[in-house]
Parts: sequence; structure tokens; C-alpha cells
Amino acid sequence: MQENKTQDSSSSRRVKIKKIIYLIIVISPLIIFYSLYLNLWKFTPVPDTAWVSWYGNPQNEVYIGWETSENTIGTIEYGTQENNLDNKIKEPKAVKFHIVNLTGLTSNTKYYYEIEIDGNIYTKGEFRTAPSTYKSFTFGLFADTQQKVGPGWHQHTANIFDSKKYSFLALIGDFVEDGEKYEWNDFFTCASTYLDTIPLIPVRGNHDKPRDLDGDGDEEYYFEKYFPQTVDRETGENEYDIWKQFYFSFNWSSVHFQILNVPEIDIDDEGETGGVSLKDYYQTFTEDHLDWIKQDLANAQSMPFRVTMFHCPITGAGFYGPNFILMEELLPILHEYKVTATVHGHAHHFERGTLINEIHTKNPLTFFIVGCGGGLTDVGLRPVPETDVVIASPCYTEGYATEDTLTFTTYTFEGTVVDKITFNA
Amino acid sequence: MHKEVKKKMTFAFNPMVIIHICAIIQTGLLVCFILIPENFTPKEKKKGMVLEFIMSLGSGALVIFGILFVDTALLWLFGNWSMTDWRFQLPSVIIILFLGLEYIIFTLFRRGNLLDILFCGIAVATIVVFLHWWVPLDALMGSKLKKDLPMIIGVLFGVYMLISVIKITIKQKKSRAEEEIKYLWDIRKQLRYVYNRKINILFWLLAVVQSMLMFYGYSIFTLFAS
Repeated sequence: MQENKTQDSSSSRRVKIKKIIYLIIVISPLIIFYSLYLNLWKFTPVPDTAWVSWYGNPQNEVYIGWETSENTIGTIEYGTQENNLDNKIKEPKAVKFHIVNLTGLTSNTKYYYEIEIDGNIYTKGEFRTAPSTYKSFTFGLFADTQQKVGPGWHQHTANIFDSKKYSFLALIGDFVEDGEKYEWNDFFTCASTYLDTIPLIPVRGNHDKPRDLDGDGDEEYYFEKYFPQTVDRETGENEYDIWKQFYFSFNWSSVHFQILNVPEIDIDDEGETGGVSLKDYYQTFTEDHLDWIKQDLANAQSMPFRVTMFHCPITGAGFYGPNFILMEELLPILHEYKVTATVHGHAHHFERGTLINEIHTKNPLTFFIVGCGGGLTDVGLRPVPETDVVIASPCYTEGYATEDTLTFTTYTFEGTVVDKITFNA
Repeated sequence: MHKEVKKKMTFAFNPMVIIHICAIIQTGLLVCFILIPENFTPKEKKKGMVLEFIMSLGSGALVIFGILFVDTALLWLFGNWSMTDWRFQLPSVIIILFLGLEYIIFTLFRRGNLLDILFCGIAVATIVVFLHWWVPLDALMGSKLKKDLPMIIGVLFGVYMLISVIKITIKQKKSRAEEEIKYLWDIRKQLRYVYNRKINILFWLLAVVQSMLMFYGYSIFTLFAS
């Protein structure tokens, strides 16, 4: 009797231990994965990397930016021969966010650069200036590398770009999710894979805006520290014009690229506005921005192609649907000045669509959404009548321009072509 | 190359996102399997009632997510392949279809019961009308989905719980043993060939691996088929 009781209790203990082991086996994969995936990247330090971009004419001027965790004075040596960097610029004062302009460059020329801090090589890289004639070139397009639910697959995308010979890579907004410093560190750590050979064209996204990160009432605006190339010189036109709007343009071979700062739709506001018109809860364009868009496109009418890049799409299959203020205020301008294509992010999928041009009926406007840069994909999709193609899985888009053609090709990460369209001048 | 979208399409959830929810639910289900023995029947009547109520909380969630999973999988299987690189979506679609059907069948159709069939019909109709007619109607689809989906799920869950309470009360009032209650059918034995614990462990593993890979821009199929 006593023996049976002892046997029962030891077998029930064995069952309990077994259950605990099974529970650990079942629960631990997700818990360990989520704990590491969601948190480890937050400890990423400032990476030793630099980026090349430009304010005006990339045929003869670019800037090189980099960041250090402490205030330092850097020296850039650059030249057309890797072993003979015959130009030197030393920063005048110690800073954390470094921006150095290189001017007087020769067009269509490969340059090498090396950054030194306290006599040690900090990082080095290369870039090519824009050609002065219509020469064929390739460029990359992607958006939304933001760390939405963990760091995402920006590193995966970055590894693909590293092998590309792009003249530049345009990131159409939402570099980061919440604007925290560690998010920018993570962005540049992943981007360092390609930044040493490919210049970066930044477009500001709604998540890149200034934010009060520590709740002291002062907003931090890291995007502006990294990418200061806006041509907006005035602020304060309306309640949203506290910071400089981020817009600029440049020509590269046969294509005029225009980068805009567009209003965003904030769906969270809908409930709070209590039934007021849609327009009231959209941010509006500033007048000087709209004037600049018109003037800039008017100046670019002799170019074979005009490509306008801004973060929030005019319409699309994503969560946000159509943006009525862009339809009302921007679309007629894009139609009037015969913009070839617009490129966007914001929605986390790839999409190509057509917006009928009622002014110049032979020039419909093609839009691309290239939001598969690394942030979690859209929860769901609802193609709109303007939608031609939607891809809801990781992919990236490449542009190839010649004197009289402009081709956009979208690839899966495995290199399969999922969409291709060519425009003729 | 992908074919162009020719007509206005309805709203569809993205399996790349749904698979994360699936991995979490399937983990929870395996935890229940471990904690509750396979043919567990409590000796005390009151304890049994409480346990049955707690279990119906879980099965209510399973049914609703099951319907959402099957809806998503079917939409992709019968129409949305122009919207993807199949290597990314297909593993997720297979997993959520298999598990979604399991959640619905195991909860509602193991033994045929009029109340369960009625609930299933109402839930399917509500979700289909909401997702494929009500949500796409609005230009600002996202805000409607964000605002109304939790409410729809909440109401369906509430109805399911109400039905569960009615069933538990009826069962308690009947003095007969459970086995004597007449059901329209009983396919528990047959279902064990398809939906057993081994298969559930396999699909849990697949869902967890697929979910983890998705976060890095990979999928089970991209590891093997390029």
C-alpha cells in the first residue's frame, strides 16, 4: 500500500516535470525571439560610416556627412585616384553631426574620400559625380526602412544594394519609426553596407519629423542634422511650418528629380475632429513650397523626364487610401508640368498605378509606391481604381535612364522581375 | 512578371502579417494541450462548469481568428497572386488555411449542434460583409478598419460567450450524462487523423519559423526556392 502511494507520487512528479519541460519548449522560442529581436538593436552605437548627398548640382558639388558620438574635428581627403587623395578639408570646429561640402568637382568623375579623426582613419568611400551630358545611368528606389515592430529587413535590402552600381539611391521617407537616436544608429548601421559606394537621396517621411523625445517640450529633429539640403529658407507661414520644409531638386543626365515635403494624412485625428471636413485634419502645403514646385518644374520643362518624389502617395491600395489634399493641390500642378512619374513610400508595399491627366490627356501620371524597405508590410490591401500592379512582399525598384527612355523595374529579393515599365521622352 | 490588376478589388489581410498572430495563437493552443489532458473530464460538476466557461473563452477567440485566417487564405488562393512573390505568401497561406480550418472545425463542428452552426453562419456573414463590403466602401479604409474591426470582433465574441453560457446552463439542468445528449453528428474520431497533437506541433513549428523569417524579409520557401 505504502509502496504504491510512493510510486504514484513519484510518477505524478515525473508528469509535472515533463509538463514544465514541454511548456518551456513551446513558450521559449517566441519569447526568446521577441525579447532579442525587439530589444537588442536598441543598443546599436553610432556606426563609423559616412554618406554622400547633395544640395544643388551634383555635377560639381556634393556634401559628405558623418556622425561621431563625441564632439570631434574631422578632416576629409579626397581625389580622383584612390592612392593619391590630393584635396583636403579640415572642419573648423568640433561637432557630433558633420557636414562638409565638396565643391569644384569635375562632372562624371569617380572620387575617393577618406575621413580622418585625430590622425586615425574613421571611414572611407567613393562616389561619382553627375554627367554633364545625357548619359545612361541606374538608380535605386526604396522607402520605409522604419523599425516598425523590431528592426525589420533593412539589413537584407542593404545587402542587395551593396552589390549594385547605382549612381544614387533614393530613400522615399520614413527612415525611422519614432525618431529615437538608437533608431537612427540602427538605420546608419544597416545603411553603412552600401553608403561607402552609393550616394543617398533623402526624402522626408512623416515618421522623420521633429519629435519631443524626452518630454521636455523641445523637439529633436535628427533628420535635419543628417540631411540639411532643403532649399526652404522660411518658416512660420502656418501652424505646421515650424521647421523648415524639406524640398530640393537636381538633374542627373536626362532626368530632373524633384523631392517634396508633402502633407500627411493622420487617420488617428478623424475621431477627434468630430465630423469636420476631411481637409481640416490634413496638414496643408505652405505657399512658398507650392510656388517653388511650380517654378522648379517650369525650369525643368526642357528635360526629357521629370520624376517627383514625396513620401505620402496621392492614392494607393494601402491603409491610408487617397490623400485628398494632394489630389486637389498638387496633382493639377504635376499634370500641368507633365511629370513623368511620382515615387512614394508611406504604404508598406509596392504599387504602380496611373492617374489620368485631364490637362494633357496624352501624359498620364504614373505613380510608384516603393514601401518595402524594411518595415513590417501593410496589414491589408484594397487596390483602388488607379492601381495597376500591387506587390505585398519584400521587393525593391530600380530606375534606368537613357537619353530618351526611362525604365522602372521592380525585383523580388531573389532577383525575379515583378514589374517593369518604360517611358519614352 | 505580374499580371495587372484589372478591376477594383476588395480588401484582403496580408498573410505576411497574419502569420505573426497565427504563431502566437498556435503557441497558446499548445500550452493548453500541455496543461489540459486529452480526455479530461472534471469530477466535480461546479469545477467542470467553470472550466468549460474558461475553455469557451479560448475557443471563442479561436473561432473568430479561424474565420479571419480562412478568409485571408481563400482570398489569396483565389485571386490575389498578382499581388505578391508567391514564395513569401504561400507558406503563410498554407499554414493559416490549415490552422484556421482546424480552429473552426474543432470548436464548432466536432459534434453538430444547431446553436454552433447558427453562430458560425452569423460570424462568417458578418466578417465577410464587414471586410469585403463595408471596409472597402470608405475612402479612408484604414481608419474604418482600425475603429470598427475590434468592435465587430468584440460583438461576435460576446455572442459566442452567450451561446456558451446557454449551453452550459442547459447541460447543467439536464440530469442525464453528457454522452446521452444528442448531437447532429460526431466526427471526433475521424478528425483525430488530421488534427492531432503531432500535426499541431508541426504546424506550430512552421508558423513560428515562418513568422521569425518574415521579420528579416525571408520566408520558408525563399530559403529553398529561388
